[in-house]
Amino acid sequence: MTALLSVERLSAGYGELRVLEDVSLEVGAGEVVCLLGANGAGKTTTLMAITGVIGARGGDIVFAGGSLAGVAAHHRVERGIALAPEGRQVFQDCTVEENLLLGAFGRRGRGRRRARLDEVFDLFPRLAERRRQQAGLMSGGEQQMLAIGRALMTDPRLLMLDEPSLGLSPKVALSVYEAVARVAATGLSILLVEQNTQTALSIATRGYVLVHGRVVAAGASAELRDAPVLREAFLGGGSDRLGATPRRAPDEVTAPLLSIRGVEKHFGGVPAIQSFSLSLHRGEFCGLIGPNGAGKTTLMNLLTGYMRPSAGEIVFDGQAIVGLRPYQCCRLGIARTFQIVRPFPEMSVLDNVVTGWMFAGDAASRRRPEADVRAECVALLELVGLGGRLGSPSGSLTLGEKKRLELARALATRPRLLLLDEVLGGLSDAEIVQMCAVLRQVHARGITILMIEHVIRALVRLVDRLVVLNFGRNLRDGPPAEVLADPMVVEAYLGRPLAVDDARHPMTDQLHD
Amino acid sequence: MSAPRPSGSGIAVLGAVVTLGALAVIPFNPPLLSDWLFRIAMLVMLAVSWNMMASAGMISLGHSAFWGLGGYCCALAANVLGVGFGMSFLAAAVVGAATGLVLALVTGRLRGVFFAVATLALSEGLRIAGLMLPDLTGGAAGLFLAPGARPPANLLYEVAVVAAALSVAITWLLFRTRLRFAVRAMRENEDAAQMLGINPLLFRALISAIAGAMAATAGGFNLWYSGYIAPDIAFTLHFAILAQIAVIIGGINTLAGPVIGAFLIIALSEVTRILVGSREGYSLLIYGVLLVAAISFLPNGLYGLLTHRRMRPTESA
Repeated sequence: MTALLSVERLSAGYGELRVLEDVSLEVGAGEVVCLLGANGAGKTTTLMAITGVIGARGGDIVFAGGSLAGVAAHHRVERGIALAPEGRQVFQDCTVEENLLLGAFGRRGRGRRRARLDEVFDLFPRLAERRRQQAGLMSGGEQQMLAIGRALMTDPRLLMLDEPSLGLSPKVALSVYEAVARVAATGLSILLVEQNTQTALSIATRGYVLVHGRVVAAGASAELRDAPVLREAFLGGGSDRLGATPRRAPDEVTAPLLSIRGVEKHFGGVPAIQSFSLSLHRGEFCGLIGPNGAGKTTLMNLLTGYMRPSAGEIVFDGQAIVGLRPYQCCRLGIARTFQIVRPFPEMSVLDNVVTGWMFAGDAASRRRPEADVRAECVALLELVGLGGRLGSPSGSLTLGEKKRLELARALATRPRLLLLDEVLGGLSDAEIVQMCAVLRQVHARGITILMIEHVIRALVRLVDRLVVLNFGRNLRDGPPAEVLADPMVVEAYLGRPLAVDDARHPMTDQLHD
Repeated sequence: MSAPRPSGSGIAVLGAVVTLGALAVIPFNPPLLSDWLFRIAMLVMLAVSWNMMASAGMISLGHSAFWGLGGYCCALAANVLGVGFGMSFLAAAVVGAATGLVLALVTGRLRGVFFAVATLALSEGLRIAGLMLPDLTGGAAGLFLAPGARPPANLLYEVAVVAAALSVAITWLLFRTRLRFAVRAMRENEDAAQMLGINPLLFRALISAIAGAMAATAGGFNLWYSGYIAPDIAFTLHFAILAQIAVIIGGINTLAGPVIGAFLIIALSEVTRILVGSREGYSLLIYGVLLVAAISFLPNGLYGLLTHRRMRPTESA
């Protein structure tokens, strides 16, 4: 049997960022294959390269016997490649039926669109009930079904699904997967990208594991399910180069620096953070981990005034900070970096950091002579290793340099609490080593740090404490080694296989047939 | 504006020479030249004002609101209160500043195209209000300045040149302070700017009030120049758009850009007037082509071309 899709030594990336290196994978006709990996491993990039939304830097993609090199994305749809994208991306203002008909916009899907519409409604009865409903008003699970239905309307030979269970509760995720199983039963080839690995492996026949843009393991689902490589891909293995240094002991005697009590945040009716409590002592270096969509960045936004909690209180150094604006939080001594870096691109590197100094802290320190401020900021840039780029426009920096610039800019606000949102994400191994060394120095200066991170193998060598967030709740809190060994945490990251779901579901038999 | 310091002294000397030159020429009463200088001065004020707001990320499409309010302020102050030429500008500046302040507070977190549409709505709303309040504004028939209130033409020209120079100087002084860091940070990424302790509302209100005062003052000069005002003249978008074109061609977010642009626009309008007569369409066509060319090929305007600066940031240390 020749493969329907064959990706051969594919390299791809965005701008300066290299994401995929030599990725090879195959999907046979009628086969369900899953592509697994942690956040930032390159899963979505692989799909984007197959759809042609981003170009390949090297290697080839062969579909149904023909190379896709130089074939535009919309022509690839005509050849039979369909994608239900990450985050669903349904057309919010259109009805369900309009969304589906838009899926059949191309020549390939147009002819049989009425018949296919009925087929999609057969597969997803829920969508038939809601055909006149505005798509944006539906639940996440229904929108996911709609995204899959819309992809099916193109009459594809290969259906690609990007994290169909993302942000869904376990029960809803299960119903989405049942639908995927029904689609698979029609004989369509499926390439499935997931973080919820156990569920994905229970539906796929084969799988590939991506780490840092490379395929590190491939095999039948049964082999992969218990493979150590899978656990390592998500929760990290050892890396001796990261080292560890003696730390300052956190001050547990005085009142905590940050105390979060019973905080809730709902978007519409959907809870993002639920009765979350956490206390941070002065001098602590705390890691915050959790799967995609667990509410980590929402928590950062609540702590810095970008969002207001629906309930609960947040006390920083004895002062309630709920209702304060971000600039007020900054002046109290809270600094943050952003998951998607936000340097001021037209300003020089040094001016970015000087801007960080000028408006933070008390009035006296804000009014220091500019020459003094510049000298302090140069020292901060030297600390993060950007001493040689003072005059460069920050827009011209590499991603790793931008992340270091953001750290220096946050430090320029003279914080007592530093919130880091994935500062290691997207960095090369060498850059991660360098960043970790900088973070240790920052911590040694007495700054309390709360760090969201997916690069867990580096994180565990930095922090004294690890908090796991799952579905907006504080799932586990303790020393890193204990937390990572907890089966609950492993499950939060890797998910559960469909088969062990408590209610024995009619689908389960079919899935393991 | 992003780089006032390195070339600051050079520009200051050049600006002083141009200003003094203009002041020295006017008393000799060359009518055409004085007239040009006056129109350039007015456009400089309006363009500097527009550029100041743009530099903080506030793209205004309704600068005519300030311009028209300034005109009405001067007319009413002179006719109703009997206030003289000089003091009427104070009234215009105060009302312009207050309008700018209210605009910043009311638009709150509106950005980009939403803010732009809000300013356009403000200008149109004021025009309609002007038409519907004939007791105050004279309605569609307009208001004439009381005879004898108008100052000698040369005095008006001289004061306008000084005011234009002042508007540039005020901008220069303002952007020597840490304000220049705040506005650039807000323009480039407001979310990140807030996390550095920058209160965007404060700086937006400040910039908007100062820019409003400048534009209203410019409108006041227009009233004293023409002696007549009506809603459709006061709140016409024509001058507001000319000011934007001047800034974009001259160099947005630079100190000298609006001035260079204003000279160019007035020169162009004279050239087209001589070449194609009074057919309005042609001059607009030429402005349009120039605008597209400037946006496409001169991202930093003529100022960028003259100083060979392509996105070079503020020199450090």
